[in-house]
Amino acid sequence: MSLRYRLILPLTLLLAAVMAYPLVFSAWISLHDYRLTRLYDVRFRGLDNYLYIFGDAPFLKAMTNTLMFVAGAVSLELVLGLGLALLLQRLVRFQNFARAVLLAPMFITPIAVGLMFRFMLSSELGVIPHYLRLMGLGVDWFSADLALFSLMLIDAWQWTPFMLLMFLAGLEALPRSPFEAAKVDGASPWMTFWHVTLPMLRPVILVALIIRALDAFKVFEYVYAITRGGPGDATEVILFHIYKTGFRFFRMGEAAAMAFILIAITLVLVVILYSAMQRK
Amino acid sequence: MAGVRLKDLSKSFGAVEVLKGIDLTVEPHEFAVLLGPSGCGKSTTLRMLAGLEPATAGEIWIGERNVTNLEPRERDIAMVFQNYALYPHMTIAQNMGFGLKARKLPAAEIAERVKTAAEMLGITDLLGRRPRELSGGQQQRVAIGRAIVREPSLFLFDEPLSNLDAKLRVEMRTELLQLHRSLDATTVYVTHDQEEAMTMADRIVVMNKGRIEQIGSPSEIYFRPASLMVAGFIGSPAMNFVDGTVSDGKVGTPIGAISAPSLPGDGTKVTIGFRPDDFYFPDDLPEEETAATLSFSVRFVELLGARGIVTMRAGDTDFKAIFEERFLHRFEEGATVPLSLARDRLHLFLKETGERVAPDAA
Repeated sequence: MSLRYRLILPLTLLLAAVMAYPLVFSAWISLHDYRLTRLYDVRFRGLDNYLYIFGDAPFLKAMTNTLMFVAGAVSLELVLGLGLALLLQRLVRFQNFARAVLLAPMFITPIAVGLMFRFMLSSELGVIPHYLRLMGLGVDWFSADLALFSLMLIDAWQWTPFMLLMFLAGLEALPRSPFEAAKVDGASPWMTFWHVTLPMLRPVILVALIIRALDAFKVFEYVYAITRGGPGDATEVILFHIYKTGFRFFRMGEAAAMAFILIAITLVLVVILYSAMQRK
Repeated sequence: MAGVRLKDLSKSFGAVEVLKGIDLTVEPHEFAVLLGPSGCGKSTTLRMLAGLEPATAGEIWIGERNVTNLEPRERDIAMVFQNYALYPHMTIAQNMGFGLKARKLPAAEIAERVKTAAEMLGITDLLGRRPRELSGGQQQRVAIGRAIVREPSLFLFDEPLSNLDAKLRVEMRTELLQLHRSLDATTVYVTHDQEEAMTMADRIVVMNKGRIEQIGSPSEIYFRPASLMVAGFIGSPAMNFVDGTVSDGKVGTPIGAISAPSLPGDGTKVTIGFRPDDFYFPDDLPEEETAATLSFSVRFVELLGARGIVTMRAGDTDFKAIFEERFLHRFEEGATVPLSLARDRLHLFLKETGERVAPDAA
């Protein structure tokens, strides 16, 4: 074996052990009736797991919940992040301070954020419902109607700073002269934003969207810390559903199949957004 | 068509004063060029005229309106930027029409005006493309097109040709001039390129360190520079200078006495300037027109083609002279050559202030 192959061998083995093997193994699991409680009786099921999942109402509900969560949370973050970035860019004083403060939520561990909001929004002892009641508004944030929306708000609270950071960097990297040209051309601020800022920021927006959307697909901690998928299945997102199937009900075969479907969906999303980015 | 008046215009960035009281009038239809070394405040002046920088003090008038505190879009101006400043994501037609769209003109009229301007500039076949598919020269044409479709009362140009290569620059210069003649619009044009200023301007405004040094026609600027700075800045190769002191109707200098008409009083310290084209062979200049005949030792000759630049030394100063090629054989390296200066070609400045004193050159 030549030296160069010997040099990459350790890394190849390591990657094979920690990436390739688990991937192949879980693919294998997804084709079997693999239950942790019946490891002596693992049977090959072919694509039955996949076919079953597509007709499985709880899975479809979890997928719908997840897609709604991703769409809602990420668009909220996009709008808020872009708005804040535009405001912050214009801030003359305290810009660094404001930036630091606004970025802070991003550095908190999501499970802690989940716990924090679980108490702050709790209808019995939460501070936010308390003051809302004083204002005459009785809101139960974790009711069946609102729970998913509340989780979106929490996600937006934690991850808007990421969008802000991306957009602020993007805005600062834009050349100044087209904006001056727009001023001289007589464009109103709104027209400048719509026809100059936004199109020039488009690549940054798409990248931020991809990163955030992929991340939001993986939402788990808030659900785990606050609602455990409830009330009913109102907040059962796909990752929580996979977790439940695999580690609560020990049905590993189905769980693995769902995970592969999730990968397929996210890959499709990446391809769509990526091709949108290429086409300028 | 509107003229421009700047009244005691000042600008500071923090503690740095970049413009110190500019007074300037540009007549309607005039092509005025702001010329000066980098950092002289010419671009700042233009940007303030455009409304991109607020004035610290003073007033800006365009036509009969005081626009000092107006937004750029209320000033009825169009500007061409050094780096073109096109909108990268729009087609050329959209780029040119953007200002009209901002004024809410009907689409048909926008298309018509864009088409007319594009024909004028010969860029009709580029209208569907995007800026990054165009060469620098084409992009600058588009930027100019974007300015002319607006039919503004004032055109502003901020070093529009300095990103182009030398050949293209000369071509565009001619084109811009023709364009100016056909549009007959008031134009303020900023450049650091004196050749551009000399060839294009109706009037040149020479700026230095935040002040106006001189305002005049190209020939006034060249033949009657108002200060040492202008004299040294205009002309290539630069004017030769030698310091001296007035005594007995002559100026005593380290390279010899030079006589000049209408001198200031004895003892005044002056700087004498003469252009590289203003050296004569002693036989060619009648005695009564001769200011001095001095000896120069030739250091080297640079042949430019029909003419050559001779670098010569007298005292401990280098002087540059320009002679036609057929005379260059007289300037062998190391040879000492006597050359005369003509009285009516001398420029005299007070050493202390740099101000011009007589004599006036023709």
